[in-house]
Amino acid sequence: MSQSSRKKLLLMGRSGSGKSSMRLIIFSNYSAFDTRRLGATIDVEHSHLRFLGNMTLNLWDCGGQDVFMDNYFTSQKDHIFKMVQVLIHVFDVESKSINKDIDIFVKALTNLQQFSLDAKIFVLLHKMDLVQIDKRAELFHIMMDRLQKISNPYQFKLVGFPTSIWDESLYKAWSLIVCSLIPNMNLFNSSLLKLNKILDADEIILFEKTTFLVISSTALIQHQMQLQASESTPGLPDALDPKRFEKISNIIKTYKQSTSKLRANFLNLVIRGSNGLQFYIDVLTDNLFIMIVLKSHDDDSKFVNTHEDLVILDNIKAARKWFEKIENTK
Amino acid sequence: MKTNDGFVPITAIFYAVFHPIQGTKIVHQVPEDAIGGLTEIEQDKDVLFNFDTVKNYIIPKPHLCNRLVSFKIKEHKVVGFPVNIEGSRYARNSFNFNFGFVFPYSANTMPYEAAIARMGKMFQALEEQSNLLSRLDKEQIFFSGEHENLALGSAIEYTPGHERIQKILMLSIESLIHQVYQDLNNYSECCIPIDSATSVDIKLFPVLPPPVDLHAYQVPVLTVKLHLFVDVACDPTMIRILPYINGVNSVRRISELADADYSLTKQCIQHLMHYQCIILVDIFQFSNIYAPTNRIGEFLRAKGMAEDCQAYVVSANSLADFNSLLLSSLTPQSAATPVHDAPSGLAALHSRDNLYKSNPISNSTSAQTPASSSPYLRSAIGSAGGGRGRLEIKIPSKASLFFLFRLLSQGQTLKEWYIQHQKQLQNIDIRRFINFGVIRGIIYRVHTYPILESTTRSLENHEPAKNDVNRLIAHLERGLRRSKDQSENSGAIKTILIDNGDGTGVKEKRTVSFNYHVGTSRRASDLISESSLRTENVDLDVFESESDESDTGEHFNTGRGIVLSGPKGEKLTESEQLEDLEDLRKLAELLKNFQHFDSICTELQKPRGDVERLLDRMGEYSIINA
Amino acid sequence: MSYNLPNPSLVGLLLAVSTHNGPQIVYHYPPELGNQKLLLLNPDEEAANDDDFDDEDYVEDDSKSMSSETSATNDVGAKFLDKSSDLAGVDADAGSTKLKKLNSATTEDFKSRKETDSSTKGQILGFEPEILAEMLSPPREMCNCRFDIMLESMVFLGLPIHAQPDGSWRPQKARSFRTAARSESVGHGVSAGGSVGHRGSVDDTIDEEPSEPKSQSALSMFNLVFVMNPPKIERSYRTDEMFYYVILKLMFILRYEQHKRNYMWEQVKLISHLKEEFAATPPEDRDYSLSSYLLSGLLLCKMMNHCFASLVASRVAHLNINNKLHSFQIPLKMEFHSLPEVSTPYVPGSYLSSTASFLGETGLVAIGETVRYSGSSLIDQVLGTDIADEQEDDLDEDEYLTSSDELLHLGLLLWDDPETIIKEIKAKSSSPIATFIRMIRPTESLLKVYSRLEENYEGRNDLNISSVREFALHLVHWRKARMIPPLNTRGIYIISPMAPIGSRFKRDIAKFNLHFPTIPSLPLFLKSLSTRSKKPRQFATIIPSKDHKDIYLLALAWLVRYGYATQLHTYIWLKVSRKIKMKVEEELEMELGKVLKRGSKSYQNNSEASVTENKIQTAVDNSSKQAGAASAETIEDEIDKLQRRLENAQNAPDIVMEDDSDTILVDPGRASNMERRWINQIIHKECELSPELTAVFYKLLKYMNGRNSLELLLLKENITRAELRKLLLSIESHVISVRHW
Repeated sequence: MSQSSRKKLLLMGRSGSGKSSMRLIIFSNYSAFDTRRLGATIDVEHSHLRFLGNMTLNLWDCGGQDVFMDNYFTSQKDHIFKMVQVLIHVFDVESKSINKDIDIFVKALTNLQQFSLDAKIFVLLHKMDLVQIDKRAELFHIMMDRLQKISNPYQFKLVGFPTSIWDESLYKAWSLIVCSLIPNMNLFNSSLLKLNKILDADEIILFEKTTFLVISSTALIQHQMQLQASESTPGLPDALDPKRFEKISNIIKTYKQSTSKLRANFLNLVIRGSNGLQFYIDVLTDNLFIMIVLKSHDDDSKFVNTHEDLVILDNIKAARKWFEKIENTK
Repeated sequence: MKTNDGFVPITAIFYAVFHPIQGTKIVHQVPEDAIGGLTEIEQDKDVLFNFDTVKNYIIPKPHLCNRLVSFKIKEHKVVGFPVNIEGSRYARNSFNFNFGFVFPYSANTMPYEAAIARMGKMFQALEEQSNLLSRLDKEQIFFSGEHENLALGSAIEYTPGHERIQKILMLSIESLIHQVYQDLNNYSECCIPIDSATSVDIKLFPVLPPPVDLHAYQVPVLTVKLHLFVDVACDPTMIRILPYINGVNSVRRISELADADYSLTKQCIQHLMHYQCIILVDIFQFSNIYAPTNRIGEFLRAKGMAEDCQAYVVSANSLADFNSLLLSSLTPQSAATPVHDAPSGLAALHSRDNLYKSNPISNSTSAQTPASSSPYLRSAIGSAGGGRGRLEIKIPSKASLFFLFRLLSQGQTLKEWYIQHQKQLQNIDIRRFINFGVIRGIIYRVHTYPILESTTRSLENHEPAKNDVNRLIAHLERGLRRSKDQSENSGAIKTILIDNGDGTGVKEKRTVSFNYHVGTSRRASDLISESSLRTENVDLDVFESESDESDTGEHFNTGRGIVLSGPKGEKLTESEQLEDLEDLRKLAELLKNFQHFDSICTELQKPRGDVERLLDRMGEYSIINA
Repeated sequence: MSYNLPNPSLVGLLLAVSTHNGPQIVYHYPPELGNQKLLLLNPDEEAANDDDFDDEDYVEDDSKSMSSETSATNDVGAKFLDKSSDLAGVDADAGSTKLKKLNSATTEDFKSRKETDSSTKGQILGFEPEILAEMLSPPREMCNCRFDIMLESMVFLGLPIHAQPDGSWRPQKARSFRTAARSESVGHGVSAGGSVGHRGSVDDTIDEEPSEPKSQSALSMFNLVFVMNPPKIERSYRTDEMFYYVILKLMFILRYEQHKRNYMWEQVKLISHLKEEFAATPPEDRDYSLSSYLLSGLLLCKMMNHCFASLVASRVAHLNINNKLHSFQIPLKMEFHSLPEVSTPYVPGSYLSSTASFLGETGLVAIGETVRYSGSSLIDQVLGTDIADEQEDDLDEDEYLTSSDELLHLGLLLWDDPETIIKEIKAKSSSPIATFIRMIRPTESLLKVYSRLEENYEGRNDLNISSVREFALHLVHWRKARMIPPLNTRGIYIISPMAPIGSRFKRDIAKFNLHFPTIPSLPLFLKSLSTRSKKPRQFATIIPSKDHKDIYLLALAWLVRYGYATQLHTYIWLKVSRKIKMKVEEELEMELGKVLKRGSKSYQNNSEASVTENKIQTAVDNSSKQAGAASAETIEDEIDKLQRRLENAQNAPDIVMEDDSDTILVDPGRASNMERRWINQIIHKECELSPELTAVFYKLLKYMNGRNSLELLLLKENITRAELRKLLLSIESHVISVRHW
């Protein structure tokens, strides 16, 4: 029970706001359709998820029915709110009684302040798919402002996401939530850049193995560094679909499922795009997948390509030890 | 605090569901507000316990559902059968409910458990068919929007004429648990109609311990007048064997007489035992040894025991003599008149026993007392006017009965005891006397184990016990040559005992009930007189052998030889030799497991005398009384 | 099956803890629990209940279950009976073998998918560990008192210990924290919760030093759960046994250790650390199972395994808790004062003697029951054994002043040779108890042993009489010795009706021969004890010669130790003959000058009087006296009624009470006036006892109630055999004696 590696995440929100659904989609390979058949969560559903090797996400999915809620904030409060790293509060955008939702949110904040001050707080405005596309952004901002105002007295900085299980938004949100927990994030980034230099790839992305959440990607890093680094590597972020990572997560994950149905284990995957783009997806470490995007410079015979493939895959193998080292640094 | 039937009353019953918005909640409970913590205010009101504390045990996660779940909370035990039904028709794809029964923690809830489980399962079925429970909520909260009308629709098609029923049901769960609560606590059963087809139908049964398996040589004694309950519906074997359960026949013998399969007979008797209709005693023989236990003092102290004894053992001897005159004249129908409406003093006397209903033993006395005496009385009354000499029945005094009990002792056979105390025993039916003592635990049977020298030796030298069988067979040859010298006047008693059994059997088939008791007691009596006759000439040698301390073993043989029968001592034919060989093998087996004489005799189906003859031939053996 | 046979019916142990990371099962033993599925009550019962609801069927399947249970229990019983090892009845694996498999519960596809990712952890009893963990870590209101959940027939029994909000583990703080209602229930609760409360306070007095390190551990609750699967009928009894004899004590010790040294939390941390390590090491280079891996390192796991193993085998569990040794056991019922009913099984080698009842009073020895399932609850015995526990931890004088001094007149029969016992109880060979053990002789009463101790160690003898008693009881309680009336060649010994002939004989014949090659074989020896055609004789009569005496006594001790032999004691009553009564009446007449109506009736009444007399002491109020009389009357009436009935019918026979010529005084200690007159009549007029004999007589008078054995009286009232014999001879005609154990 080495405390450092254990992260306690509270998943809160009124009943039926979709907590369990998102949990199961992200961490238990449910498809959005599966979640229809879920029953209500009774009291707290504890799940201990190994994440990036030495880290254990200790996810408390708190059933949202009134009796349970009352309990969390009264008799069980020390039990629930002690040593919380992250509170993920889920709002149902089309909820009938916003005030009640907010009321609960406030109670949660009060307890957090009492028991674990330094908790990060994420707010998910869920079921966005039920709102017309054009209204979404607006609604989102209104809500977030209101919530931020509420939480100001508690000195909590809110991070909000509009989410829906029907698109990749969920992955985006969770990637960021999870990344916020990874202690040695910048180590990953830096070494990722190094690798990129060596391969000089268009883009390199790291996925967590089980959840296939994006851990890091060159593009993102560069995006962050764009301030100082004026000249930009080929493939500007805006040129590409900003949601591509999550989409990929989504796709690969479904793909993985289909392979697992065939009793086959997903090892690596090479896609050769018509426009000469080549994608390499391969196991990097026990917990990481890596995806490398290359633009082939010369349209040679297959032989070269296949040869190249091997080279790339070898490179990845070579890179493996580095990342393993990073992972095991505590 | 028990209901009249000895079941612990229910403290409270509640009906809880999982409300998709509010969560686990109690919908109805009886008595009202028995269980607190539903709202904040109720916290300090005095309630059985706080519902909030245990809600997750009342409606647990689906994995724990659909099985009997009981738990302790404070000083109470809650027994329930949480049901979880999945279904897309429900708002949250599932519907959870539980009927919780609250008892004091110390209570024995076993009788209820099966019933509670059944109730849960039944409502599960009803819910699955017609949403019986989920429908009850006014605003149909349990149904997901699109399915709502479907749910009701299904209801309509499942229960014809449901409007009426549904109306009842709207308020019925409340009244239902009320009635269950009332009825079970008052009558320990209830039958409450739910709809045209189904009803909550609970009857509590005490959970009795499983019977131990009994031995072929044990003798069942009825504690209730079973023959009064017999009807065509009864198990055929039961009907067959019942007549032979007379306190004399061993289990094995019963199955033979009734010619019913042994294992079936055994099962029947086990069931009788299970429902405490019989007690087991041992085969009554004059060769038996009995001795007082540490509880003999109770005969003086325990209230009513001495009186019971007097009533029970009063000798059928004189009765029987008297009876024998009458039996002939006794007309069938008068014989058939059931015992209980015979207005006899003794019947009245035993009726007092109802005081000790709890105690099966005293029932046993009640069962048999009238049987032996009342027919005589009736006949006496019936035959009023016929000039016959007065005869007198002495009821032995308590003190004298106590003396007789205490005079039994280890290492003294019943016969020897009888011989020494014939005078006091005149008015006493010895078999009943002994049975009474054994059943009340103031005396115990000392069993007698023959142990072969050879077995001992082989055990001591850790040889495989097998080869002493061969040794036995070798012995046999010599044994056959050495023809046995059984005293001529042997076996009367045993043989009498046997045809006594048959006699009763025959009688039984003809007439009903009690009558065979007369038979037995009569037999028992002239059996006694028999032995008393022969004891005159026996006495001497018994006392002689008494005088010499030296070889108990062999003197023992003579001692038995007299009491027990054997085929008269002529030469054995070939076939007999062969079957002897068979018997020897069996015997050898039994001996290896250190069986006592009763079981050996019943296994070999030979009287003890024969067995001892066989033993003699198998070489040295020592007799142990334990 | 019966309460006389040990049946721990223990399936396994689970350690559930709850931290801010949520509840979890830290460790379970035996590992097989992983593969076990939760078993259902009884298949056919289930089936029957499913569809039809009418009573008929219900009776049916109830009987069905009965029969099946018979077989089940029988073979369990059998298994126990034919165990060759002495007292360690069922061998260690019996518990796990008792577990029945259940074809796995139906799982919806998505649930099963869920399992696939939790499969790494593996299920316990067919449940996700999380589910069990949550079930077994109850909210605080249910903690610090008995915890008992039953799924189908599987019982989860424990005593969850919850930290106080301030992080300490002290109980009375807990009470102050509770709301009025709760503390009330804990305070004066009668049943489990209450007794725990009481026990808790006892426990507090143990940890005296006020300053305790406030444990900053993340641990908020720990619950060592005993999973049991007892036969339906025995459920409450077996669970009570387990709870009061083991769980209660064990958990309070654990709480103490946690409170003082944060023991549980340290262990839990270690365990989960090792678990992670284990998970880290790739499967191919593991040559050991997880459990064995944990065992290698951890006290707590070792403790749990050992606890399980020895309890399942109904042995005494000597558990190392934080390097301190504690002993636990579910006592065996091997001492009987009355003979069990025919159908009631018992542990072979059980000992039968009235003296057992003294032991029963101490609460340290479980006395066998004569019926298979007596309604008696454990609690009272248990309060006794709590004391036993004290005595075990720190010997405490005045605990014992209550228990009867009868014990000191009994002797001790060691079940093994002194040195091995001393080793087993881990006593220093110079310690007082060791010296005491060496002194023990089965032929000497504790008093005698004590006086010998005095002589040998006069001055530097640090043993006082009460500690001798405690040591003795300690040895008996922990199955090292048996308390018996001192063996004596003058005593009359018979083969016990409970002698294990049939069950143990094979083995014992050889054993006996091994111990005593020089004397006759066991059967012959027993034969010599079972005399024929005459009352049992003194043991001396079967000893061939002086120099055989010792070996024969040893052999006798051996027989007693293995339950083959027991001593016959003599119990006497005073008998008042008709003659005496008439004499007394005449005197009365002279005194009163008033004529009493004479006749059998009056004697009758007298005898009744004596019967009713003792009713008083049994019942509290005199109303029972009337009751007694009444019942006596009723029978008279009935007899009379009967007679009258018969008179009506012409020349029907008479039914007459054989008149009660003699009256037996049930309790001369509380004799009525009439009775006293009779007694005086006897000793002065009839027997003209010499003054000294009269003295002796009065000394013994109160014992002439058939409850006190003369053999013990000799020791207790130090009267010489000669005196006693003289007395008995001179009043022979006025006493009734009975011989039994």
